[in-house]
Amino acid sequence: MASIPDYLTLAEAAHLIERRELSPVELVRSRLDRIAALDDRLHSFLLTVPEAALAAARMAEAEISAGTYRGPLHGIPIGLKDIFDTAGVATTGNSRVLIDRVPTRDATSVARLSAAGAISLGKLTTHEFAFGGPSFDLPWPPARNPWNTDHFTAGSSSGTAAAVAAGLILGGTGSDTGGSIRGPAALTGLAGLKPTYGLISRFGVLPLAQSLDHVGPMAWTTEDCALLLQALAGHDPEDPASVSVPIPDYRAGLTGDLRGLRIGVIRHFFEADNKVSPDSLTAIDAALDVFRGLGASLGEVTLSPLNDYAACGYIIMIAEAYAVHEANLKTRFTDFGEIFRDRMVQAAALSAADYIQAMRRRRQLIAEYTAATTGFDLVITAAAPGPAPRIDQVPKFAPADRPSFTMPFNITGLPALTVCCGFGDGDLPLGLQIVGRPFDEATVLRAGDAYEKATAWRARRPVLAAG
Amino acid sequence: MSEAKAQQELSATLARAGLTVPAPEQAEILAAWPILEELRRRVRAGQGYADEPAVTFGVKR
Repeated sequence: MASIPDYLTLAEAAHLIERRELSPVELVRSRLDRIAALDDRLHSFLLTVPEAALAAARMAEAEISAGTYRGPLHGIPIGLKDIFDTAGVATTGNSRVLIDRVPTRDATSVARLSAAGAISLGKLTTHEFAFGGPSFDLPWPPARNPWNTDHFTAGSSSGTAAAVAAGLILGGTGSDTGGSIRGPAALTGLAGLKPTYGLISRFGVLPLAQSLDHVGPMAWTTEDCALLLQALAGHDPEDPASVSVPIPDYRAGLTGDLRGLRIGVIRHFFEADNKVSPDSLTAIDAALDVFRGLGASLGEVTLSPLNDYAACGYIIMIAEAYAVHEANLKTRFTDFGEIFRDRMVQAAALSAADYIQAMRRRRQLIAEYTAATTGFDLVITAAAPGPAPRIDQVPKFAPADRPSFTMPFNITGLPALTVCCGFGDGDLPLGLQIVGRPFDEATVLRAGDAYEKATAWRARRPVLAAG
Repeated sequence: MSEAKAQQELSATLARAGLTVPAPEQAEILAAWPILEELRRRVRAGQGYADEPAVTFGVKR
């Protein structure tokens, strides 16, 4: 068998595995070797499980050889953000508060991926309890951006982003409360999907903010996200927010045909409310031209200022997070990292009225969004203000200080995909968001996939040499 | 909000919540207090009934 390339998409690997041209054992071994060679600089993994992974790979290989091919995730090496419970493997949220915690059950999402044949190589770095960062006072250091290790990955699904971008895994799980999938995806050049609220179970995932938390896939391409979503989506009675809706064949929906699609652009978010860098603006405008060239028609959407979404989301997020962590904050305050605990002090200052008003404003914003986007199949806006900043230049209260482009879709619960739309200063990736109607992930993915295939960005990978 | 009032509110918050925060961190939190105030101001618009009742008895409205 020829040597395995440093970079393979999930779909490419699946194709080869199905045809028995790629051994899951060799693929897993090659990724473990790559982790050993590179991850001391990237810090994307908190822990690896090489023996369990190789055992699972041998089993996958035996099953496939015997004619039992489970589907495109069978034999695929992935990683799991360290807020996803894994039976018998530590799940800490990268916090000293849970440093010795070993769950006895898999999260529903983990069990679904495993049932589809995916093989976990280990647990991936996260900001503490999926909030804040970069922090340098947690049990494990923050992940570094494979495009330039002096730069931030964003977070909180930072390990998943770094590991996928560096080709250490072919996909992974993220969670997204205010942008924790889409922000890191933008800064590391991935595709990252926050699905509709309720589509993927959160059972067995450490909560941050119950009304904003989503679980979703992160991978190099939109097609890979579709393959992961196929396994992840579905009703789970153990998550009270989970809904029972028909699950389409997401990959079959990637037809490349965008003719007749109506796309609304929320231009004031990134041109006025939070001005993106000039390279981002150029990239977004060029991307809109690509969508037009693919047959979509474009219009403009005007909403309340991005700051209103940010205020509403931040207050709800910290209030709900405080409810989760209040008891430990009182007794173990300094066991939390400084960024997390200081944001929780802000939460302690909120009143019941603040939370109620934020939830009221949220309903207004949802109603406004629904009305403003009637007549559009999709909405596009920025995903990040620009390329990744240096990791030592991120302010402690960043999410409160500058409104994020991602929070509006946690507030509205709508499906939102980040795709890479080029490279900016320092050859660092740039991203944009494609947002759909509730439970219409299929159209979001179709647009993201068509865009990726019409552009050359997916051919470019970080240049990493073993340290 | 004046710095003195922000300090007063932070002290009250810490006492009420039972949190013990090291002094240097208190200074940083205090410096960010105007950001939090602005966020709170932005969501304080509504006074009428919330439009989504908690109790619905399964009846579609």
